[in-house]
Amino acid sequence: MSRVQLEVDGIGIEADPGDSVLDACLRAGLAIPHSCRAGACRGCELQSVEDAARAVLACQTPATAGLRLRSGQAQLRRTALRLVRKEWLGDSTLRVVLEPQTRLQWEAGQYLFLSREPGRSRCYSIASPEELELHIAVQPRGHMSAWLAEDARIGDALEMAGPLGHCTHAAAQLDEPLLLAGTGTGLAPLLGVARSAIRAGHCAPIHLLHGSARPSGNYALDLLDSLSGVAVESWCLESHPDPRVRHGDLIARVRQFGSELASMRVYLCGAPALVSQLQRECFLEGVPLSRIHSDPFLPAR
Amino acid sequence: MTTKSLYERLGGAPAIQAAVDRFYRRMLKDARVARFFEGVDMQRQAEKQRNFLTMVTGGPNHYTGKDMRDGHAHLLKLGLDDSHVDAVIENLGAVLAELGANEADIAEVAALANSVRDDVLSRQSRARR
Repeated sequence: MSRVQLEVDGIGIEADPGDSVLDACLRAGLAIPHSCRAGACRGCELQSVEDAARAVLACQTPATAGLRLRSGQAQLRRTALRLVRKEWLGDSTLRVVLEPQTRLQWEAGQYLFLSREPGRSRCYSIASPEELELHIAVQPRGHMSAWLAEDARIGDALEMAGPLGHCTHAAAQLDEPLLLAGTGTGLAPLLGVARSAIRAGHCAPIHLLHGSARPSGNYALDLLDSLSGVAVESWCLESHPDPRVRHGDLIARVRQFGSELASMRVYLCGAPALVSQLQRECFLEGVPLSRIHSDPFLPAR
Repeated sequence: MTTKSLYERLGGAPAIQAAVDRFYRRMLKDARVARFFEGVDMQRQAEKQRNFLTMVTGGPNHYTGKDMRDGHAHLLKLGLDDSHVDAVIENLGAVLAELGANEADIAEVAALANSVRDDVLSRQSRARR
């Protein structure tokens, strides 16, 4: 069956027929507050754009094509951006830096919805507390990524909604050891947390583990080299021509921490299957769920 | 005389949060029930367990039987039955004991947990039959 397109706060969201509006929003990374999922608590109430008086309970409403809703959440306000820098960090990963045209507050590790035309957006995480740096996995025909790689020029205008998310250093105590682990451009929020930690004067060890299935996924090696105060490890399932990349599996590496894990704060970002497996491993090893921050990256479809 | 609920005596929301970690970890390590938790969103699952533990300890909740039915309907196809509900109640009791609840409390919680058994297993309530 074909997917349906709806809109919440001007952000285009794709849903499978049969999804509730709430499920579609959560899957797209739009953190609609909710609790009972049974229509009782009214926590997930949204308004219709056409008729502001009409309340819509997201958990009870099937996602239908053309539905236009508003959450009234301040975090989802839109901010105009300008592209100020772009450079390749690897074979297929681009770093872009954007400049907000109005005042914008964010925590590195949060994510935003980036758009270059109304109603279509893509979700990216912020890699730095100092500038709006995003890592873009470039897909050959990606609506946003291929455009950024091939056509976008310095000075071009874009727009964002957000930022959202709690995969940030803000919740951490400065004396908690940190484990930051992930794959692909999940490195961006992890790098954001690491940089924020250093800036905040984090005094416990910070381990940053980046894994990839293929050598092309181990990007930003020079950038990681330059990160002082962080124990960085790059891992690849295949052997990698660069000696800085170790041959092996991220999950096996995380297991090596053993009982040390229980005292750590853990951040997991990237491929959903890996994120959920690491989450389970860490939880069973004794990390409370409140100290596991996870951000599974779902591919845009 | 007012009697405090077990929820209040355990220490309210923060204590329930700690209990959820222990309870969930036990369930994942319990070979009888672990398979029912394969592939679920852990944060979302923990939130459901928090609601459940709040309800059975007498804390503020908006429990509905419909939630329990809808939340477990897909597990019936995987063979969810009374033995699994028993395992859940056993794990629940063990966690409460670890947290210092007494036997009377644990029996009361088990009775409350038992009261949703028919909803979990999508059966007609015995009381209404």
